[in-house]
Amino acid sequence: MIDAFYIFTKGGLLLWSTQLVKVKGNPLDRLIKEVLLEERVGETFATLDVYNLKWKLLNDMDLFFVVVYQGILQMAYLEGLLSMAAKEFSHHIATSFGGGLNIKHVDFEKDFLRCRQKADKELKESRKPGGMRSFEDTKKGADVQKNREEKGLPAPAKKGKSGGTDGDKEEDDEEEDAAVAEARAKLAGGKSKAKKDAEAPKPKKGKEARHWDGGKVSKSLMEELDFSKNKPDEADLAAKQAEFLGSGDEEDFEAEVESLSSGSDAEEEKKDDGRVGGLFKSLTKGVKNITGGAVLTEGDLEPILKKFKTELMTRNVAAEVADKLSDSVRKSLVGKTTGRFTSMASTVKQALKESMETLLTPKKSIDVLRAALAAKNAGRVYTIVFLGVNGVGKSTNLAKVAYYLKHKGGLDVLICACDTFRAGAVEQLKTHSRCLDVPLFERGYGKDPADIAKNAIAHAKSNGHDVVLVDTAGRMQDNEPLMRALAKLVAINSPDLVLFVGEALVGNDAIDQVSKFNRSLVDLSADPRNPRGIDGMLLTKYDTVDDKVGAALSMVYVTGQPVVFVGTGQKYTHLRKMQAKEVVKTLLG
Amino acid sequence: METIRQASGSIESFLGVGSSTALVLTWLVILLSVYITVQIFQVASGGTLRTRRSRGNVTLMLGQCGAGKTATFFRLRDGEEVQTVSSLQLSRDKFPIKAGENADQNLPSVEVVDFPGHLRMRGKASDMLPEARCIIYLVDSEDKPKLKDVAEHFYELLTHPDMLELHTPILIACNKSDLGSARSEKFIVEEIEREIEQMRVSRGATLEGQDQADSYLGIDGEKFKLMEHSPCPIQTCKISAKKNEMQPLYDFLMEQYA
Repeated sequence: MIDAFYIFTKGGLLLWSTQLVKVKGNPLDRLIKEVLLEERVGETFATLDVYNLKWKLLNDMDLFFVVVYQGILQMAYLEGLLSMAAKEFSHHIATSFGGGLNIKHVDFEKDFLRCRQKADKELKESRKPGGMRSFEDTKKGADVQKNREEKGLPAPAKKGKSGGTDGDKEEDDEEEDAAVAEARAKLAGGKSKAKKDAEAPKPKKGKEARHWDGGKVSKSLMEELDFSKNKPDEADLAAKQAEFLGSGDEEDFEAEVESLSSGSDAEEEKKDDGRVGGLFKSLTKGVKNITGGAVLTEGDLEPILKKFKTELMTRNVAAEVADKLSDSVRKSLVGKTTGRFTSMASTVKQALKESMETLLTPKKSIDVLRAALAAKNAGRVYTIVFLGVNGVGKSTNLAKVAYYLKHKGGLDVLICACDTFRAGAVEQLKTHSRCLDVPLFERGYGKDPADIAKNAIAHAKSNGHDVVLVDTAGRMQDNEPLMRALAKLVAINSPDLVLFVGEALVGNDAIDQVSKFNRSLVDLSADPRNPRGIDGMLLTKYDTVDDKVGAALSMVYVTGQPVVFVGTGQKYTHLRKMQAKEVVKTLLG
Repeated sequence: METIRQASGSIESFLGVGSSTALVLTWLVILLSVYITVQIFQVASGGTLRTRRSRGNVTLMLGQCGAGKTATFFRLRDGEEVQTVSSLQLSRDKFPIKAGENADQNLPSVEVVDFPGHLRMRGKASDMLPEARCIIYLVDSEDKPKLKDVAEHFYELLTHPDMLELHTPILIACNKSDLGSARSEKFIVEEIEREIEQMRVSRGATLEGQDQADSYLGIDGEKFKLMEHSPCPIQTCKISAKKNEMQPLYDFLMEQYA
């Protein structure tokens, strides 16, 4: 069943954990760093390596509940277990929970065991309505229970843990037995059913009843062939009707239609009903919206988030990303209390702002010059590969980066022309190389770009160049053979930096482009255990988009990689680093 | 009022202007003198007043992920060992610190902030700098590759305008010193210095629109020395949150809050 269960606070305290099976690696740490910190809280489910993780967030206490398992488990079961554990836990600590800092370790073994048993039971019941004996009802179960009580039950800390696992083992055995029994029962059930089917009298058709045309038609035969009158008896019909018409009556159907058509009205009414004492409640809510101290609910957040979502979308954030981001924010806000004198809208805005800033802040160093200098000191050649779809400005921005490395870092740069496809590509780079006074490595058209790049790096090494910038041919993300060639180039040369060049102008297509490029690189990479994807992005034509800077957010969200540079004009000096705060400010208007 | 009238009378006779003009002039002179006094007062007391106001009263704990910030935080707070995961949110609390047996070795109440170290989060720590009275920077002594990130963070911190203005003292606490493979303080400082030196070149070459780290760290053409060239006092020490060897940390706090 499940492998491990963790309860921790946002502040970083592991309040309680149990490993029913030894967990390899540290899926929890990866979850926090790769999912929760990437503003993907909205999903509540992730797969990391062999483990599946599902989690629940209790906002009023800033608690996370995480269950780790392998293989496939019913979502309903996991959700049940999580919410049960959450309920038990908050009950458990309700009295002593002071802002989340007073509790450091909680003895939760006992309650968790109960939760698990309950969830297991529910699962079994849902699987087999016939009703298995529950664990406690079995003889062995009773024994185990008794045994456990005699042992005085798993106590805190290590000792308790070992005791717990013992108990669990027993329970696992029991579970296994139960599962086997269940399977047997199922099998047996299946068999008997099959038998029944076989035994059931079949309507006689076929050979015996064959009557050739042209023969005389007897009355009995006519009756037999007359299907119009025939028989599905009333009960059957009613059953069928019940099955296909839902609860049957046409009146109901009409009512349903009506309620559908006036769905929104009905909902509103319902909401009003929900607020007992209508006016007063809404009044206090209104006041609290101004003075703060209101508890946020899904209903409150929905319209506000919707507004922000459309705003983001008009600023070129891809719809999917806007959706997920607002989901994440909603999940992290439901149940929270607004601060003093802050309205709900401003609370939401603040949360959104913070999560976007976190997202856009690079999680690794994006100082290319420093990395190149370090490589130079180590006596290596630093290689950057530029890739992207057609016409986004790969060559132009490659030239800008060349200028930056050469003039600001004093590095010896070599440009490598691996666009052996588009007419004039090499000439374009030649022009840049003349203007920048940077040597160009080219082998004309029609050659294998991976080979050229390899030769260029070898050339750089023997001639004392520090940096090689590899320009590749633009390609559409769906063109498989070309993507394969690109993956080969990356795999053979293993560059220090793979830069995806993308336009700031794109909207929804941004996700598709960047994720497909990334996936092709990962899928076709040389070493499948340690796949190589995109390391960073270069956003071009940034000066043309005004406030529609959403592409930056979309691309960063999809890949999790930072925007290393932004191109802001036609000149070689028009290269900048992205300011997360500015972007967020622009996006939120 | 009587004196004002007298003064206006004397101005009237002295300058030979009408009585109403003289009155207006008198008032102007009075207002001007009041304004100048206020200004002088502000300038005189301003220097000390401003710094005291702007450097806060919080002990800020920074460092990389897994350096042991949360563990140290709870060590300080309760003297207990806790299990931790990567923090998603800062923890903030005000509590007395028991540095020793005697009452005079205890601090009545110190506000400590444990700030998440993940690179995505740590940028926001600079917003807290004005609030900080001192910074405890935790370093995992065992993790050499992370020192690159530490150096980068230091560069950002040391060139931050708030730091340049407030000179917030920093204690580099090399945590996990109980481990066999722990590096020495000297090694860590040298490693940070070397990394910063490399960074000076790349950071010095600012791209258009790059903020903060514009200013140059240290003296041009000279080897960078963390202790000498920083805008703020820096100390180092060796601690172990796990083994509860925290004395240098207490000493530092006593010194800062004395």
